[in-house]
Amino acid sequence: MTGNVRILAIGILLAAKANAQNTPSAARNTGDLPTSAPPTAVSQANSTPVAPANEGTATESSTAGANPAASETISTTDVKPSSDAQRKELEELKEEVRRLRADVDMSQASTDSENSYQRKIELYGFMDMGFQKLWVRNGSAAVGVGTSRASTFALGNVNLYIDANPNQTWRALTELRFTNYPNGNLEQIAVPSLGQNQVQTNTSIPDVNAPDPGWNNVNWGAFVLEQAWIQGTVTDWFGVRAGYWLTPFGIWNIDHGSPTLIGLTPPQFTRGRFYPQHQLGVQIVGQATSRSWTFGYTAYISNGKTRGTLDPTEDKAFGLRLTAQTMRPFPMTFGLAGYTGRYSQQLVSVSPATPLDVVTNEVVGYRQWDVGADVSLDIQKFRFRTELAIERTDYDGAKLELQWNIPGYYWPNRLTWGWYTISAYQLPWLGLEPYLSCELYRFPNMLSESIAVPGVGLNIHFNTEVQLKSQFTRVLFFDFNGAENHSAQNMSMLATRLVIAY
Amino acid sequence: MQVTRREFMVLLGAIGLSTRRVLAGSEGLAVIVHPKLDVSRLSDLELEAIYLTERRFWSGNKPIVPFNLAARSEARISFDSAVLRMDPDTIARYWRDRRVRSGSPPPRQAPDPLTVVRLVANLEGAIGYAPESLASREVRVVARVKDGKVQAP
Repeated sequence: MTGNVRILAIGILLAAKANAQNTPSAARNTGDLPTSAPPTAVSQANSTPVAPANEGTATESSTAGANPAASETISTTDVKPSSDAQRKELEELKEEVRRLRADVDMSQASTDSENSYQRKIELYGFMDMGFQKLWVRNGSAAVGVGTSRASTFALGNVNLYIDANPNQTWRALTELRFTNYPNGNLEQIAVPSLGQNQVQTNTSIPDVNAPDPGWNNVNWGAFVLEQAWIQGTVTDWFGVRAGYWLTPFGIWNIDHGSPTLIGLTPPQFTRGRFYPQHQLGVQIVGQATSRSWTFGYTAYISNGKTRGTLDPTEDKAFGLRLTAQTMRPFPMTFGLAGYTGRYSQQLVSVSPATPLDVVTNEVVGYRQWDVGADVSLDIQKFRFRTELAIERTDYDGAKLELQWNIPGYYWPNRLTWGWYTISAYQLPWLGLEPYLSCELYRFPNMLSESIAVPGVGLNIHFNTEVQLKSQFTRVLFFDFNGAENHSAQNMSMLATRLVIAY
Repeated sequence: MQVTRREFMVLLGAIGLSTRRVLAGSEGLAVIVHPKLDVSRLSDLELEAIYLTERRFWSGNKPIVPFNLAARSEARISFDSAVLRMDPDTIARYWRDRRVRSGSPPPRQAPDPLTVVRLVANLEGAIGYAPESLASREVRVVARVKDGKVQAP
């Protein structure tokens, strides 16, 4: 039997080669095997009808030229069974071929049961990098975050997904973003009048593993954990996701990757200034379909917005997102979201007199409520996204928070909101997709009451996987009542990124 | 190397079984499920939900195991056009975006229609599609795709 299996393997390889070359040259009778189709002609690509062969004769006649395996004319009349014993042997062989072929099919699909046919683990992701320029006056506060005003290349995102599906109902997903952070981070701005020096992170260290240790330097970097969760799905309308996940609020925070987003510049309220971008907790998720609509929900309990990863208080955050989406007559999604949580910043201290008596005091505490609504439309080549988010923040008495750690400036109780819209249209030439964007953001602070961010951009879709994205935005600082002129803080930004999904 | 008659016949069988199936000009696609499933017919909307993995369970909470054909194969283009109303590029973008958003993974791809038929016949929760002439008695036809439309079986 070893010889038969060997020959079978050769046959399958030859056939696979024939498939790969896509040169179905002539009809072959496959109907005489139990698991395949009834004996019927399988046409050529040019639909030339070919008469079915007789049952059990395994007569083959191939005449195509491109495929060596198929180009040989084979006559098997000399192996036509002539006795009952041979017929029986032939049937046994057919059964064996059927069984072996089924085994090959199943192994090709990594399948042995409906619960384990899934891909066990997959790696995929996206990457973007490019060029940017910030135009801002010398005294602008924006420079204080450590960004550069010069034309500069920038490493954008290097994100890798590790997607494990051990069976049909369980899934574990990890998304890592590789960065060169914290190298170059501006930890502390200089205040010469107070004798405070600038502190900037430098991760340059000698590469002592190099053959000439001490002569080479490397900059170590770190990765940002974007997501890491485990999900069990019981049915369409109920599943549980536990771990560290992207907050299901609106469009941008879930789309979050440069291949999927239309624009490059994130709206202000999606940057963790309202709801946290990521949370650690448990979600229940589900959806139901009714005619052409799918209605989904995500409800969660989490640590909420915390300074570290652990929750310092018993107050948990809660949130909910509801969606209605359809593909007909064109893809569209409508969403609502809500979030509430209490932020607590604790000071852990000891007294020199009693060093083992550790005391915890809350120095900052507030509760926030966020609600949002979003609409996403894809009408053929036209893409439209818009989101609105509103937040109310109330501090607990005097447990106020400093504005950007500037002594004496505290955030007040406040009502803030943000809104953006972005519309793109893919032209029929060269994959060009120009777009317009606009954002309004009311966030009263020491710079201004609000900002407006009009923008224009162009995406060039080289193919499904690769895009060149560019966006120019102007940031305007203003008060709605026009009481003060904040234009000195205005700035312009140009960013471009080459994006690849893989 | 001596090849016995028996080995020769096995070789022929393997070659014959592996022949690529293509859609004839007038031949439609049969959407097939495992015969033990309590499903006799699926509408275009149900197929759309299944093949976009929006619906992932049969009634009775048995996981749906959908199988697709290769992305740019003739049968796949025909199926996606009729059921999902998307061309290959749109489909590719759809699944690219779904992955970035951490959505459910796409259906698995089988290398050829014959494999789809065998997988559907072997896996209780499976659904697939293949040229009508390949739909054997080991699977149940729950819809047909012909002339760009989803039809009753």
